[in-house]
Amino acid sequence: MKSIFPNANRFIIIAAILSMFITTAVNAQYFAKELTGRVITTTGDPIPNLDFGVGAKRTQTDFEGKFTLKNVDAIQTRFYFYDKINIRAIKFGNTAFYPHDRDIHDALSFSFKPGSNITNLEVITEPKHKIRGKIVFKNGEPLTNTSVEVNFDTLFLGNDTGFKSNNNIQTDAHGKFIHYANASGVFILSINHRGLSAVTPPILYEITKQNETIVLTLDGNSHDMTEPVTEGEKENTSSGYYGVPDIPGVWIVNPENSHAYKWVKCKDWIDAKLISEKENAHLVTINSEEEQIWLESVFTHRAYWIGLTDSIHEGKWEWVTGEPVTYTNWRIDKYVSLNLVQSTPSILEFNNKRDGNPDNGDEGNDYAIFFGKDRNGNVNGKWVQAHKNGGRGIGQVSMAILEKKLE
Amino acid sequence: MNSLYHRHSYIFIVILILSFTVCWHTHAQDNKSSISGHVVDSKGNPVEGIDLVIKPVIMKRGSEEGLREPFSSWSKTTTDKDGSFRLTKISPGPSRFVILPELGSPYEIISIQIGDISIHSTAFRRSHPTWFGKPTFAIDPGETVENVIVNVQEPRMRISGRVLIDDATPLINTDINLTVYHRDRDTFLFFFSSGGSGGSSGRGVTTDAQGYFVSYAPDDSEEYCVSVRYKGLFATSTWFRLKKGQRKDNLTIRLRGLKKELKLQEDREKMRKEMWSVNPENNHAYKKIECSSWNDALMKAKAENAYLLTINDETEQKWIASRFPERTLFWIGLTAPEKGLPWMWDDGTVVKYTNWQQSEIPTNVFKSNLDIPIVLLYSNKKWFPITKNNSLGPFVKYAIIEKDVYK
Repeated sequence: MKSIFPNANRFIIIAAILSMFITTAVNAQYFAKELTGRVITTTGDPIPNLDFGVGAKRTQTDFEGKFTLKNVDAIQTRFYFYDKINIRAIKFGNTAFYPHDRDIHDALSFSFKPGSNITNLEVITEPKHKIRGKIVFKNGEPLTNTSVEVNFDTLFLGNDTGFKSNNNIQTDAHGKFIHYANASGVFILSINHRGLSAVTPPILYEITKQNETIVLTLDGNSHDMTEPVTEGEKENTSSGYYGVPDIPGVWIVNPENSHAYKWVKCKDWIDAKLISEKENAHLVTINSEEEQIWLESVFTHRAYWIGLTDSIHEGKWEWVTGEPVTYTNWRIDKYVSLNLVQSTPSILEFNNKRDGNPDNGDEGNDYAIFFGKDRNGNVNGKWVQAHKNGGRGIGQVSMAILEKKLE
Repeated sequence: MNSLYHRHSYIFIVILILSFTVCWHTHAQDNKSSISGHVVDSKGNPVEGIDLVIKPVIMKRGSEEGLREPFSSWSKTTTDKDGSFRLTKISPGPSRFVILPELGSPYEIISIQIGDISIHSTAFRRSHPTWFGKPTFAIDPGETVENVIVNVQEPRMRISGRVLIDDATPLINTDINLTVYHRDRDTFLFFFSSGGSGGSSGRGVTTDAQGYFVSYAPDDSEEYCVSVRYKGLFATSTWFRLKKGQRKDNLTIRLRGLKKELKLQEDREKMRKEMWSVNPENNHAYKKIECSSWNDALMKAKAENAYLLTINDETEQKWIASRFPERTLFWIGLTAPEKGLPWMWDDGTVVKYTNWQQSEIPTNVFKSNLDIPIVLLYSNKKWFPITKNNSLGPFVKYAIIEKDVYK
């Protein structure tokens, strides 16, 4: 390259410098001259010394929460907050603008009239909500400067659902920690740390109120702690809503027919059948709407195997007990036919079909699942056909319902 | 909203006092603000005949939580020849500009310009465009904002329409599952082809206050069809053609038999709630009930010839834990009827077994000057005592009731 254009390097440098001038000259009309305002809380108190950005510019508020920015990007620029602050509204003149739905982190997209001076902008913010906690030993000594996994068991008290989340927190020199919450709720906090554990009663946490510090008291003292566990040895404690419960199933009797039912953990349908035989029971057979509704009211986890299969005669569904199939509650899936010849959509219906593709046979989908709840946590109760260990869109099904007659 | 006007809080208070001395109604009238300006397209041309409304919304932490007022009371107008509009009687609080019908209007709002500042819809911003961000604003009570420019553009590859219940009532403000099917018709291979290539995508969509929905189609297909799933019902539009960059409005999808289906589901839910289950260890029957307080639970138990749950031993505790695995709080029948009296079960039995989360708590509460303690059973695990006036009380929505003999 050098041999052909000996002055190429110099040329590039000059071009680069020139282009910089041009860019600057062009961009000048895309800046607002000056932007001044205040960052305040929703109650009107100034937020001093707050770092934030507008477009590519970064600034800090003064002791009165005021800021001044020069040459601010005028086209679709945004406010950025780096601290633990959420933006509630931005107000200029007599109009306040709110951040977008679900988009509060980068808040609002603005454009300013190029060359304009924007004055007295009010940025109304709200600090994120802090859950303050403290971890102490039985004797009251704090657990200092330690990284601990805290389990937040969130209870939704209006309906049945709730969830667990594990959060790594760091205690300070006084054993205190801070966790940020997005919403009010009732929590139960628990920790398992090096052989010691602590659990709180249910705590009502209201984001609009000043909440007390949550104290987690361990059931031992510092000398009772076991050696730290390495990452690899850690137990997988995930027990999400759809997960298998951490307590065993029990026999539950339906008083209408005096049959007893119980859920068990299993690897797949075949395994579930073996377990049922060991328990002198069988995989559940559902013979009436009454029995179905009773099961819906009791078995409320995501999915269970039931005793219905067509593995013996493909296409002929039979109960494991040999009872005649007198009642079914298959989920009926409906799809639109993509057939080109039809100009009005024809609806294809599939009883219990897993994938909804009419071209795929039933082969392999030989076992039936009872859905306790749908994805939204609503009672479902529908039966769906699946492979012996689960299926697409369901995942691994590792629970089954057993049934037996009481003596 | 008051918090936004802290700067003028003294004026606000004066207004408030005045308004109370005059009358509440007048005050409400005086609060109304107005807004005027022009609707222009991306080329700056005025857009005539646009039905523009101000939609009052409830905003919470940057999310739209719902409507503040019903559709009938939204401030409405139609733009005239030069695209100008004037909207009056706007109630204070967060509001949005909406072109009717909200979903499926002939134009989409890109940005709103007030003075030297424009606020953009996140759908059309330069970086990270998202569909849900619509400019939301609040005008100070009684104020007028003039010379507002609403920038609009015609939507592309948009499909919109209405969901009607069989008697032609629109299904308003409702979450539905919407699928856009698409297929290609290869004209040369038409006679040889038995099926179309294409696909579908299902997602949750919310209909607007007039029952309209909106979705966006991939631009690489020829023919499209929309299906709607709601409460177990399924309905489709006809197949229609859509060329690149066009839009399809006014689709009608009719859900037939909705009332019947809802009644059926309601009856089933009612039946589920009536179901008792029996513990074979003691032959006692148990049921979960909804209640508004401990006293309410007590009354409801009596009405069913039952009593609030009594746990007499560890076996029963374990059975209850497995039978009622919900992550929620239940009232149970343990109470200290009066200060100074020991804990007692609702059915009159003596307390033989306890499963307190913290052994020392019950006596502490018991000895304190607080109200009479009552007991909560948290999920499957432990009992927590709370006093009658504990702030957690109103959040406990369930109780477990028990009876010795079923029937």
